[in-house]
Amino acid sequence: MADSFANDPIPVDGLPLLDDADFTTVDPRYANPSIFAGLAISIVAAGITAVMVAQIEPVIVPLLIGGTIVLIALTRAVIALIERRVAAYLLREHDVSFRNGVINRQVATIPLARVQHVSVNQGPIERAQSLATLAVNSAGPDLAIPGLIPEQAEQLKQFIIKHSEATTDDSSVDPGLETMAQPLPPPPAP
Amino acid sequence: MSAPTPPPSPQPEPSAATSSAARTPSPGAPESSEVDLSKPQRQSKLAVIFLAVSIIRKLGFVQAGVLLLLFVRAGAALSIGAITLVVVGVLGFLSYLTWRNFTFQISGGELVVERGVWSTRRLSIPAERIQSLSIEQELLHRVFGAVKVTVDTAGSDSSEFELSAIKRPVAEQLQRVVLAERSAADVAVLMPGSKTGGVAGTQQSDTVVLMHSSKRLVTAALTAWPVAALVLGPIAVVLNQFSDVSETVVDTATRSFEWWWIPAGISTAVMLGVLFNLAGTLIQDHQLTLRHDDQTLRRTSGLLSLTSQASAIDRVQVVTSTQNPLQYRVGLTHVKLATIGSGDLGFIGCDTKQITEVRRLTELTSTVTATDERPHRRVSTARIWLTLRNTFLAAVAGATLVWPLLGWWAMLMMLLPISTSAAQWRRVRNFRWQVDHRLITVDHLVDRVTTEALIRKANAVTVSQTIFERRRNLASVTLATAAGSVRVGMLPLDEARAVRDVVLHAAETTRRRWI
Repeated sequence: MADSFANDPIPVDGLPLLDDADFTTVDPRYANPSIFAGLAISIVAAGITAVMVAQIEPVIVPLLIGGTIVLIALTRAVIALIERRVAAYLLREHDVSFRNGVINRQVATIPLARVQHVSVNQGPIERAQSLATLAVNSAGPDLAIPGLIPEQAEQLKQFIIKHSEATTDDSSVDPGLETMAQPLPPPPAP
Repeated sequence: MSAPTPPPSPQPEPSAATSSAARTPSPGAPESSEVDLSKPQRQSKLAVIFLAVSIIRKLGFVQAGVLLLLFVRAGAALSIGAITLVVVGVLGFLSYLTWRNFTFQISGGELVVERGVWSTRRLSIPAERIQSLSIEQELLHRVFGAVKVTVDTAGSDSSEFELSAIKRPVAEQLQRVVLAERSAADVAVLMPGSKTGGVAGTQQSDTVVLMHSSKRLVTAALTAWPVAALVLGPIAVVLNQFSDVSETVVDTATRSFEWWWIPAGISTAVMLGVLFNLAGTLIQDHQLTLRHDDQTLRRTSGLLSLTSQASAIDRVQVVTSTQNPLQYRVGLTHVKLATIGSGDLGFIGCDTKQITEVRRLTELTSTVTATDERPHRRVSTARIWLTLRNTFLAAVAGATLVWPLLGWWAMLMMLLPISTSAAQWRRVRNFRWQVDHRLITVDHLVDRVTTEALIRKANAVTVSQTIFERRRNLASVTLATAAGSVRVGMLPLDEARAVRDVVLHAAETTRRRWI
């Protein structure tokens, strides 16, 4: 098997490049729930802290704990606010990429040939916003692209499914289908 | 029972009456000792015991114990005997039923398992979907000459099902038939693609890649890190909490402390660790053997309980080899093949020739082009500054916090940034990576760890940048496969992107099996 396998070096210059400029940003409304959740948590935590400060004697203890919670929640809200501008996806002929992150920015790419399954998810809030999340699962890491219009997500899903089939199977005869087409064996004797 | 070698017996006939005449994968007459796997087979009777154990486990040992305690409190000694009898009877009956209603067979290229006492469940797995089929022989199995078979598919992280006890020849036959079916499917896939494939599959000529002698195992065990004693330390501490005797021992110990106790303690721990390594290796890896045929790797080892793991070569995703300084001296390496599913194959004490053979099998050495040079690319030294800065800030914060307690002693914290960044300096200086047909990294701080993966097996590629990296136009690139990943950090952004594009190109243009 190893003998018949050619492995020529690839000149990097000739390769198609994944360019940042080609990315499509997703609908920024997808971040609204996390922004509001962050704000709400910080407001509630601030309220509880105020009550605690009035009651507990060493004031520094509730102040420190409450302050930390408020700070974390606020930071998360701000990060979600900024990330709206970063989150973007790119679908090419043979792969799908998603860019996200504020502090750690990352671009993840999954070749369509490695896609195991694709699903379009809509939570209750997303339904109210008429948005959808496209989940692309490989045998390794997965991508979840939020903030898509449902029809668009469905189109992306169809494209990905079609192309993952087209690239994984080289032969016209699928041996998997052949075995499935066989009649079921008779049930074993009890 | 001495050699875990499957005898080179003729091929079994996997499909006789039940499967249609689409293909007959392996010719050959079935021996009299071999069972007809195309008919439903039961496990060996020994399985009843294992099933009983698994039923208890399913109910929960705790609940069973509580129940028993309740009975003990309620009744007299006589009733205990009666209850035990009833419990054993019920358990035995239940596990007998489970055993009776559990059958397996191979028909039409599928492994079919039927089970269930009240409602019958039929589970059929196409042979080409089976990731690994491992044969294990625990001590109890050994007494009766039976084995445990675990079947694993890609769908889940845990194994799909297990046959708790069947006769060893039957298990080996099962393994062979399943892998032959798999190979037959492979031929069907590869045939239209002209030059490749062809002879793949049908004949089963196992070649031994490595077979470790006891001497080799002893060397490997002696050179491994003696960390086993570190596990015992915390246990001893916990045990201390519960016994008064050791408390007094500790009390007197702290009062009459001598300086030489520290080196004595350390050397005892090291010696214990070496002993544990030696015992563990000699028992678990006894006669460690790796065989291969066209499609599969098979690892067998074990003194008390024999383990045999088989996995298709294509399933291997990432190969990691580790050498500590001692092993570097004696030229032995620990090689780990990460495969999809639960069956990672680990091989201690491999020499250079054996590693070369393993790498050739997994196609990590290119046979066509001579690009298999030693990795020579480096990463940015910025990581050293990052480490220095971060640990310095942390040390300053720590020192100010403990200042009221320790005074000037707090300044000892300042040694931390110096030592960590010195270590980081060594690491960055020794780090090498390379991308051609595979992505390889060599990380060498104390242990020398080489990680490589074929780029065409990439399931995802990620280029990521922390704030620190972004400011310096650096990035990290991660090649993730279906089992494990290879990561190169702190390299120029352009280079990281080039790596990504090369990997994507390879993964998207390949027509070869990757799983």
